[in-house]
Amino acid sequence: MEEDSGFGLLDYMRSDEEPELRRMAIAMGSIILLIFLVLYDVLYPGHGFPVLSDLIPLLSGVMDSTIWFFILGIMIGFFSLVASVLVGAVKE
Amino acid sequence: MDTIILMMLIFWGALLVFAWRLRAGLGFLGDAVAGMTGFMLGKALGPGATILEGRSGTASASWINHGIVWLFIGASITFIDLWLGHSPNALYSLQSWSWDLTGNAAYTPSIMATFGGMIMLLIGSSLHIIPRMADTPLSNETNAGLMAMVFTGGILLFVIGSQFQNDIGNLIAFAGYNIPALAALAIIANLLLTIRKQTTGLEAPQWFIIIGLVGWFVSSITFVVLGPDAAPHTLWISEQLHIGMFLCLIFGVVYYAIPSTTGIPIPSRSLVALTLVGTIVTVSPMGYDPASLSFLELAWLPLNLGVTAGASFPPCGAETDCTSSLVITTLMALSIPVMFMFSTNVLTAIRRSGAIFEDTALTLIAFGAFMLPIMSITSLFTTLDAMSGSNELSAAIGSVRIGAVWGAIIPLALGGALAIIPDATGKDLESQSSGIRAIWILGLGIVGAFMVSMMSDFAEISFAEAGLEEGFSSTAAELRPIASILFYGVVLGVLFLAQNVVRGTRSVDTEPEFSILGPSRYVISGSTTVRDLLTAGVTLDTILTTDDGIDDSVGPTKLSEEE
Repeated sequence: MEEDSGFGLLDYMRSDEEPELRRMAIAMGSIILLIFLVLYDVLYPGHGFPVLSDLIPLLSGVMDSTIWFFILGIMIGFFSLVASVLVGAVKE
Repeated sequence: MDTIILMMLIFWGALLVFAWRLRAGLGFLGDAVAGMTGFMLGKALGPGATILEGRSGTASASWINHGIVWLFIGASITFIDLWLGHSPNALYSLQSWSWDLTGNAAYTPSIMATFGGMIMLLIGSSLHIIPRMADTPLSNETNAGLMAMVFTGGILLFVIGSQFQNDIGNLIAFAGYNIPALAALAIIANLLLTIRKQTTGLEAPQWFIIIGLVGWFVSSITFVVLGPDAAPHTLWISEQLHIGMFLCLIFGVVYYAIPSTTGIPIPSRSLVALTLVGTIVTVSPMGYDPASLSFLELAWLPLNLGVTAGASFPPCGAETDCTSSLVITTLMALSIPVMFMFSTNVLTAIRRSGAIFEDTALTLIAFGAFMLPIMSITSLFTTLDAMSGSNELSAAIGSVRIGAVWGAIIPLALGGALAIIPDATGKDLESQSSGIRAIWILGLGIVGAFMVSMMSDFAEISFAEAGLEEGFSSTAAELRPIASILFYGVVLGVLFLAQNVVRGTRSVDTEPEFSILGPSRYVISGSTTVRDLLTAGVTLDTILTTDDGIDDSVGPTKLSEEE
């Protein structure tokens, strides 16, 4: 560890429990996305979002029942299971 | 003679002859049959026999892993089927992809995936238990591993075929139903060849497993032998015998799993023997549902669809003989004490071990063992009501079937397999605490779904009894979505358990510590009596060691010698 200049500041500024880089990236990405959406709405009021606005009407006819949320959960669970199997197979 | 009585006599007779030959051997034919079977399982497969490496224990692990994934798929499709029960048009949008999920399109694959997954778990466990207790390696590990893929392929084929509501789809589904049966036949041959090398007598779990697997086939063969004319009466009995033989398999796995995990033997050997005899002699009322006719019509396609329609008991009245109805009713009622025997024996052993809420597998087994007698009695009421033609409880029969399958049968099969996984694969579960949490989710899910759907059913029954045939109970309609959502807990519970298994870590010591007869090692701490040792399950062959070398004394830390 570097020498402290006597104020004990380094002890406060350097934590031993740094958050994972992955989590930081996801958090920062979410914040940037939110800022972008707010800014876009301020700068171009009444305009649809590029690409997203074209895609959403396509889904409106498909995901018109609550069951789809449950099926989404099932699909995420299934793919996480498959991913775990594949990772396990590659690791060994 | 009455058809049903004749069917039962053939079933019992065939199993009796099998058990007798299993003990006595086939004489001079034995070597020839064994040699030929060994050739069929190995070299006859040609290049197929070299696809897999065939390391010891891989076949068992492969069956269990496939089984648990199918079980998750089965739970998911069952959830979708329940949802479509109250909102038939929920997945209407899939029709734009030409996928018509109406009618029985979700129901038939849900049965195949659920029972297919369960059978795979049980076969995987058997592939570990039988060689282990025979103290000899599995006769053909490569073939057994290969059959797991064949079995999975069969289930997949059935699920795909059932989505095409035409002749080609029916044929694909029929092939999908029979391919797993062929794979299971190869497994039975493999296990019998393994047992052949056993020098000691067969242990109780081995009897359960072999009789369960063979009885599954014998019940189907008996149904076929009696011909299509008798099918309307023999079909349901054959299906109930299937359930009974699955229970026999489950009992064998659980009776092995508990002592091997805890080191504590099953309390009563006489109850174990009575359970075996009782499971064979009686007929299980669980899992009966006339709606499963759509599944059976695909499974028994050559019977020319429609033969199975209207399956019921022969009519019983003043002018007709009621013997068969009385016999089956008695046999179904007699199965209840058998379930209690099993449940008592298992719950006592688990309570003695103190592992409940500590060990995932044992907690799941305890949950299943607790629910088994409850679901058996409930099933007895609904099954006899439906088979006798009263149909006063017909609205509740579907809920009872789901409760029996997911509340009792699956937890026992899954719990048994989970208990065996560390020993069979050398991998521990990822986390016991998350496993227990998954069981809570599963348990609350199935109990909640069962109770709410029963409330809905009885609201409907009351409505019908009041003579309001034109209307529909709004209470029942409101409760059904709640039951579906609660069943989602089962889906999540099975998913979390499956993730726990596949993410498991390799344990350092994979050497077996316990045998079915008792612990192979036992650590004594302090003074003890022989009575205490015997109570803990120690046998004459157990190695006793003291914990002198282990310093686990607690107390304040000494900072210096002066203190």
